[in-house]
Amino acid sequence: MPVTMTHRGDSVLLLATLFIVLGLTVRPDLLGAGVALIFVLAALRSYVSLSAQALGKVSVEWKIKGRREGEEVEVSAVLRNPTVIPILHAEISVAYTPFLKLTRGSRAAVLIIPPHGTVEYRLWFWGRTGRHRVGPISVVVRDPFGLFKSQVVSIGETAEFNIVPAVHEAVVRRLLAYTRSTGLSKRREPGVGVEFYDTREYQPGDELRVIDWKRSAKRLRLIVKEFEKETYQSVLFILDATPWMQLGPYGNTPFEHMARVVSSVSMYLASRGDLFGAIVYTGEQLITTGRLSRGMSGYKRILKTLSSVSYTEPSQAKYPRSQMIRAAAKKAVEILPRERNVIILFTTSGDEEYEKTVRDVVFKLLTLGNIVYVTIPITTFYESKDLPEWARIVYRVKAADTTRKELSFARKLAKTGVSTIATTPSQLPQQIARAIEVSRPA
Amino acid sequence: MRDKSKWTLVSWGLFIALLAVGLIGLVEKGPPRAYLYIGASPLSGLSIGTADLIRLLRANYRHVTVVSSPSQINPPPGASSCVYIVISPERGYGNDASEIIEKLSECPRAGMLVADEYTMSNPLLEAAGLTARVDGVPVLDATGSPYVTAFFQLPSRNISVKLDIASSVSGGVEVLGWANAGSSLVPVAVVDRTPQGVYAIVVGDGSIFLNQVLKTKEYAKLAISLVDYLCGSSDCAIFVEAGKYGAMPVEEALQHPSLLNQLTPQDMLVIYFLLVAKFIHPSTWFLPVVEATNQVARALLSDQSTSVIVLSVMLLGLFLGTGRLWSKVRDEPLGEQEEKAVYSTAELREAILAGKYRFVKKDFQSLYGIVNSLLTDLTGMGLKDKDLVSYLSKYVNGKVAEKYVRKMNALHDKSLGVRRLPIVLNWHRTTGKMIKESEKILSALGASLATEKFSSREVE
Repeated sequence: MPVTMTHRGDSVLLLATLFIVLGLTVRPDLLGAGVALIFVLAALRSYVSLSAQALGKVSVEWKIKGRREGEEVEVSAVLRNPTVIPILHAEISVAYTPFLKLTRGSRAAVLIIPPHGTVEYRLWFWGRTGRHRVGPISVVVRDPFGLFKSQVVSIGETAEFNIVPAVHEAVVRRLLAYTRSTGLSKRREPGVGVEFYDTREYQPGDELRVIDWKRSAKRLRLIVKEFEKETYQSVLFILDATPWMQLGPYGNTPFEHMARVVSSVSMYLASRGDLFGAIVYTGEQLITTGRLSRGMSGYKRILKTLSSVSYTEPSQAKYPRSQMIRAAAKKAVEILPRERNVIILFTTSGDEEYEKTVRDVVFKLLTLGNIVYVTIPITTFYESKDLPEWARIVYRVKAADTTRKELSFARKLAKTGVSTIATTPSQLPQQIARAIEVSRPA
Repeated sequence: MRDKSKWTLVSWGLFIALLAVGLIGLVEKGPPRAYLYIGASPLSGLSIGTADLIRLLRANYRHVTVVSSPSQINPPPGASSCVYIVISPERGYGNDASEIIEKLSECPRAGMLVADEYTMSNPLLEAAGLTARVDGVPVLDATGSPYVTAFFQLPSRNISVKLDIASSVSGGVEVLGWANAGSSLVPVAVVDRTPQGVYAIVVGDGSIFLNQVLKTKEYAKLAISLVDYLCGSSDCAIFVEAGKYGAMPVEEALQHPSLLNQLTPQDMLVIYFLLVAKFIHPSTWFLPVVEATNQVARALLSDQSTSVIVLSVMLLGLFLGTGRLWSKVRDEPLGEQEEKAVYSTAELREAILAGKYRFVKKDFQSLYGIVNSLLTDLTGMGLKDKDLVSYLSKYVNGKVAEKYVRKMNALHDKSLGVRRLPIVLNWHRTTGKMIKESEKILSALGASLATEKFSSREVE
């Protein structure tokens, strides 16, 4: 590995040559000092060269703790030096996804890695829904005086980890309370199902399998079990996770907010026994939960799907949004059961072509007997969240045109017959729950 | 595979170090000894030397030795005869003559070839017990020229050659060669023999054996024939005398015109090459250069201004030279990962936060629209509504409310071009002022332009 002399080493070399020249001409006692400095330079260079070779053998093991949005994620890099050469001055810089925010720790540091020893280097990030990468680590070795430095090398592989969206328990409880208090959630009724409802006396026509023999023996007459009528609803979330949904402040982009809403509503649906699933379309791929499922397993699939989204900038999108939403719709047709499903599509506004595509997709899904709602988060609301109050006011006035255009997108869709939910972020979970409940079969 | 053009087998530093060691070694070894041998020395390659005779003899005989003292005459075992050759000696013989004879007597058959224009070699002939003598008298032809033609009658052939200032020879048992001295024939070469069996050929001219003539076939044949006569067979050990000639350092030769006159242009070329070799040898110039450098350095360093220049130049040279050993780079810390937050309205946000924004007429229209929507949501009445003022009077001062509503509507009409008054000099200041007043009114109603309240719509 090449070793180069730094500008500091250059200064020391100049001093050494000055001593040598003066020693040869005017003061012989300086000659020794000059030669000694040259030897010191040579020795330090040799040390840096050895350390650089040892650096090539250092291994990195990543450990990651914490996988939830809104919490700290601790990422540790354990650097192991298997050689006998101490690496005294290793400057490191850790690479990670630029869309992550470091909360504690330092992106760069100077380490001492002892021979046959390890060093654990920790970073803490603020958890953000999606898929993130940390590593590799760039390292350069210097001597203790910084006179020589090695070439910059990358050690360790890239570690990937997923962060799941937070579920606001309060939101879920509020949804349950809201739907019950507004009469949207259906009262329990006896009927065909698996959930126990009540007992009654046997009537001719009741199946033998529903006889409750224990109670019957107690009461000395035939008693049967009644079950709750199943009124489950299958719900599919189609979430736009293209780079245009990822614009905004950290932790509060439309995608992250929609992911929280979807995870909260999914928790609600899991408690209701409904079938649900999700299709997420990014600028490069489709990520799906697969077939719809219920309960906690369905909920976990939702979290896994939402946490698999990587962040990119609009310029890095591989495919146009129109193409991806069409692909998502096609996938939806494949995985949805052949019945009336509720489909909630989350996407931001776009140009005319995208508006037309959204309309076509919605109508296609409608013709298959589904109920479709389109939720359009207004990006200007998200992008003003992290501004100071006075700036928020100015922003609202200056961005009024942009806000109008986004609302106009929603209105145009609505005018063509597409059911559109354009509401404030805090109202969104309730509006979605309401839409699901009114669609629930009687 | 590594590019061969980039292979460095020996570094420049090592090369220079080895060069310095070599130079110092050569200096310590001392200067080369470049000598010119005077006369017909067998060690001389000049035109007046006899080195070519040695080459000719070695081409015909196995044992040919150049000797500089009698102790070097050691007949090899198996040699059937020994022949001692001396050509025009520059120095005479003393006790060494008998030593030479004694050494030659160790051979079964001993012989001597003596070619001399002078009497230098006569003591040797006497010590051998021979009667032949070189007279030391030049033979001249009819015109008085010393360049006479001589006839040699040898058992194998007869050869005629030109002599160069030859001497007559007397004594001996048989005349071998005659020179035409005008009216008579003078013996210039004789064969002699001692009772002990030592043969000798005495020739009164050594120049027939010189390098400058041996290139000619006749002279070469003569030389070999004479040696053959003495040797008798090929098992002959030949000893050629080299100790009877002087040597002069080559640089002194240039100060002897008499010597230089004898030399050919080719000889002068050899002398010059020897001089160049001596000159370029480090022992010749290294110490004087070092001494001269010391003197110059002392002179320069004794003066303050020149010493600064000299030291600076030395420093710069040494620094640049040692600096080339290691590649250099400006040291900078490693770049750190940059975190990004991407906004669709990034430019607007940055402008607002930096204070680099200005409200224009359109912004006031936007403000009016926002306030109108908020008031409609909160009160059910818009800014144009007649009952709004009385409603607002419940929350703020009535006059303040009235003034606010009137001003907002007037400015709105002005911005739409519906009316000319009020005069607005600066929409930025006016809009900013109305924002503040709107906030006061809205905050009295429990709302704010800063919150996200807008008409919640659900369209089915």
